[in-house]
Formats: sequence, structure tokens, C-alpha cells
Amino acid sequence: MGCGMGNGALVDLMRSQGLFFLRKELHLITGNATSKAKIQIGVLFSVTGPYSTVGSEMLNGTLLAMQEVNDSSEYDFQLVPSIENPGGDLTQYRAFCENLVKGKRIPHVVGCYTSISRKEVIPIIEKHDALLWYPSHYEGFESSSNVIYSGASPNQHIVPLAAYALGQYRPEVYCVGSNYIWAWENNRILREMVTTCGGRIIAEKYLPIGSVDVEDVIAEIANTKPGFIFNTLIGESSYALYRAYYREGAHNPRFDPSIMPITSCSLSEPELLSIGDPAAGGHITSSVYFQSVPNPENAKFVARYKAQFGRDRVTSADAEASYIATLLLAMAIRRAGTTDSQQVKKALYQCKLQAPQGVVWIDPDNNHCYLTPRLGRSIDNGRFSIFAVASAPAKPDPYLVWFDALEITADGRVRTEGEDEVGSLREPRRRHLRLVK
Amino acid sequence: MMAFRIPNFRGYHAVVIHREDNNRNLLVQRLRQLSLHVVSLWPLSEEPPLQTDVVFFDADEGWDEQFSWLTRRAPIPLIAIIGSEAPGRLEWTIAQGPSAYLVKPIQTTGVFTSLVMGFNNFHRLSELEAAKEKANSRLKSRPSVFKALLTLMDHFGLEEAEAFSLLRSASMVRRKSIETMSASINSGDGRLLAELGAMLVLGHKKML
Repeated sequence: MGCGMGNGALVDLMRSQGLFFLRKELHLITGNATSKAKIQIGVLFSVTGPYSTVGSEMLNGTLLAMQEVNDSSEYDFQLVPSIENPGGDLTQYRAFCENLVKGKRIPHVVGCYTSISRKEVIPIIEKHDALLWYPSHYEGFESSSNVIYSGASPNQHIVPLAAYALGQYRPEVYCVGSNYIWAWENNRILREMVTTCGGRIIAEKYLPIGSVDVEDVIAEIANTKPGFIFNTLIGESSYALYRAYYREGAHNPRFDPSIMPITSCSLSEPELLSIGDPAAGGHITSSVYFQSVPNPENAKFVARYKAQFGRDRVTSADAEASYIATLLLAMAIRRAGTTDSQQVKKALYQCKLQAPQGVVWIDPDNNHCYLTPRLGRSIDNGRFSIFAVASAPAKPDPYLVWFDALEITADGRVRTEGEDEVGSLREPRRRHLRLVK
Repeated sequence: MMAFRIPNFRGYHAVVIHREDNNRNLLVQRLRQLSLHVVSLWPLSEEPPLQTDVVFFDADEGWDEQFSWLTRRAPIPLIAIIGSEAPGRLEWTIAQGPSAYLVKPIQTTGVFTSLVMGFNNFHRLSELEAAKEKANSRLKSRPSVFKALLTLMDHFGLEEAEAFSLLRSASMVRRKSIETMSASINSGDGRLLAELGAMLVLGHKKML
């Protein structure tokens, strides 16, 4: 997907972090593991520019995983990041990627956040038969043999969210998004599910990326009274929506998240902090990872993340997906005994990782990741309370081959645990999430 | 067909007419990832399975006889796999009437697009063909309609517009096309003319 960010204070923060990263990189290279063989890994994230917040989280997740590998006696090699920062400038991605895979002959690159930047580097990656380890949820409809996708596919984010919201709230939806592919494609999937279950899309509104002009949207929501709001705005536009919603709530009782929530497939913990309390609270997000996932692996991940990058920092799905991608890469290299991309890929299909979100592995059918869909409600201090979770990791379905709007919304709601056996003659369907609270 | 739907080809049956090589392997692999059933044939010594929804064919080494079986079946979308851009090959390819094409070497991107484009173009063309057929047959029966109008004008002393209005009403009431009704009038059906006269008297809506 993609994100926009333009807050001066945040950019300053990121700049200071950029320096911080360089120190960490130095530490990684010269750290405790000097006797181990060094393996260069390309790292390509925009840690400056319009979506630097997410880019920085992804870099953090990547570096944290590398440090874990380098400090571990289970690996007889160390990963050395070769970091490039395209600064959100699309024209830079191709050149930087070429420098990594052709210039430096590095066969593995962890990187990219926006779909358009990924499309930009894939020809280079394929031409040199390298592997791109792509750690972001995105809109799907791609499956390159030279890309490993560790973020969520649409069947793992939008489908469970829509299935839940359509059952829980009046199926009249107000869609608002940033004007590009992430919003368009998600709205398209939602529209199919909404119309199939007899609901309707009240409006499909698009704002230019970076626009914070949400007052008209709020006024229209007040007038049209949807059952819920589906938000595919990114960055500052999205934060402005949550804040304006909260302001409207002061004098309009309908603007109450327990009655008419804003739902999203991308809102993450650091963004809750950017929105600020109490405006950030009470809304619904679909994600395969939340900082509040109650796993020992996650407790370790969060503790290490905070130790490394600051006590006040929060983890996010983007950081976790990058962490997963890098650890899977290390496991696959270890298993293959080589960095050759094809052999690493073959070995990767044998790897399973106890990730912070639970067990994950790559589906050899499409190079996407088995991940566990969850729904969370934002509370305070950049946190989500998880209220629904899939009973097992969901097979990725990037082309929505197994998507059937009719089946998903036939009963119009999420099933609670045990209901499959008693309440329905149909096969239990994994995409229905189990309510946990 | 799929204007407002997420295109889905799960369970479709594809036939790939191409000799075995990396291109074919990758194409078959991609189609199976999209949950199509795939049969690869080369050379085409036997008829493809009866249930075939789409055919991918090699444009480089293909020949006419490969497609003789198609004329015995309901039409389906054909998708060309093009390597050579030599005019002769392209001419032959166009003659097969493909709905979409893929360019060699086959890549991971493009197969899904060729299916979406192929089925869309095929259905649009089928609709256009059906509409053209209908328009053509109407065109052909224009003299017959004209003759029927003259008969009505002459018989009942009507203006052209009145005669046409009567013809149209009678067609609607009898649930027949204007062309069929005209043919009946032209055949000299005296009883029909009497009924039309009654319609004129009672107003067009009622029929004796």
C-alpha cells in the first residue's frame, strides 16, 4: 500500500532517527559477531519523504531481525545491511535497486512499501534473478516468482473486516480514501460484498494524497448517516479524518465509534499516536498483527523493539512484516547453505517461523505468507484491543480466487466460536474470525 | 459479463496448444495458480476435451488444421501466444480471431490480464455480432414492412404514420415482430385485415 506524511516535527524526528540507524548499522557490522561470515543484504526503504514514518518502521523491523540473527549462535553467518533510501522519490527506486543487485551483486533485497515502488523495482529484480522480500500488506493481484510477500493479501485484511462490519452494522457504507490504487481496489472488493448482501455504498469519496480537507466528508457523513465508514485514506489525510470525526462528535451523537465506527485495513499503532487521544480511540482496524497480540514471541519482539528504538515507541504490522521477511530470509539461507536466489527460495518453502503474530510460512503456490487475520479496536496510548481472531493462519489468496462475496456475507456476520458445528450445515470457514472478547 | 465483478476463473477449463518449453510451463503454472484446469497439447493429434472454456495457442508454430475442431463447437475465447512479430505470422494469428494475446517470454504478470481481456473482448464481440445479425435481418425485411404499410394505407385510407401505428400496435398485441406481422399482411390474410380494421374502430389497445 502506501502512506503519506508531512508533519514537520515527525520529519525532524525521522531525520534524527536516520542518524540513529546509521549507528545501529555500524553496530551490526562491527558487533559481537565479527568471526561469522558476512552476507550482504540489500535494504530499500524510504526513511525520508512523504511516507517516512512507515518506511522507518519497516527499516527498524528489518534491522532488529538482522541483529537477532547476528547475535544468535544458531546462525553461522551475519547479515550486513546495505541500506539505500530513495526518500519516497519513485525515480530513485530503480537506480538504487540496480546498484544493489547489479552493482553490488546482492541477490536479496528487503524493501518497498508502496505498490508503485514495488512495480518499479520488479523488472530489475527479475532480470537479475534476485529476490525482493516485500513486507507490506497491499491490494493483491500480483504474484512474481522473484518476490516474497510477507505482508497481508486482501483475503487477509479487507475480506474479514468487511464480513464483520457488514454483520455488525447497518450495511450502508460511506467510503473515503486517498486517490490511488490501494483505496480503489479495496473499495471495489467492499462494494462487491456490500451489494451482494443487499446493502449499499452511500458514497465513494477520494481525496488527493496528503489532503487534510475532510470537513466536506464529515458534513456528508452527518447528512447521509451511514452504518459505518470505510477509510482507505493514508497518512495525514487519515489522521485528519479521525480528528474531525471526534470534533463532530462533541455536538452530534451519531459520531460515536460504538454506533458508527471508522473501519480501516491499514491504521497502525504509530498512527494512533499521530492522531492523538482521545480522537484515535474506539475505531476498528483489520490487521494480521497488533502490538497487543498475547504471544511470548511478541512480548520479546516488543521489548527488543523498545530497547532498540526508544521506550515510547510502538510496534506495528509493517515493522512485524519486515521482521518476518528478514528472519525468513535468514532461515532460508541457513537451510540452503547458499545465497543463490533459487535455492534460497526452494529452502524457504520448508521454513516455518514462530513470529510475533503466531506461526507464519510462505505458500509455494504464490510466494505470499500464511498470516492470522485479526480485528482490533483502538483504545488509548497507541494501542489496539483485539476482539476477533482467525482460528488458524489463513492461506494467502492474492487473486481472490477463493473469494465469494455471497458465501462470506450470506449470514451477514462473523461467527462466534463453536457456532460452525451447531449453527450451520456448511463447512467451517476459516475466514470467519473468532470473537475473543 | 464481469463489469462490476472481481474476475474469477476458478474451475474454468483451459487448453494450451504449445510445445513443451519454459513458456508453456510458466503459463500452465500461472493458470493453475488461478485455479483453472489445464490441458496442454502438442502436437494437436486429438480433439481437446469437450469441456473447454478458453484456448491458448502458439502463434509461432501454429497451423490452420489445429482449429478445425473449433468449428464443431460453441465459440470460446482464443488467446494467442506471440513470439515472432513477422507480418505473415501476425496475419495468420489475426485470422484465428484471438480475443487477447500474450507475448513471449511468458512472465508472471500478464496471464491474468490476458484472461480478463480475452473473456471481456469475446463477450463484447459476441454481443455485437448478435446485435448485427438482428439489425441485418431487420434491414432485409424493410421492403416487406413497406409493402404492408402500403396495404394498410390503401385498405383503410390511412396516412403513413397512422398505418405504422396500427402495424406496431397489432404486433405488440400479438407479441410478434413488426417484420413477421408485415409478412402475414403481405400474404393476403383477409381475416387478419378484418381484425386490424376492428382494432382501428375500437382503438388500438383492444383486439377482438
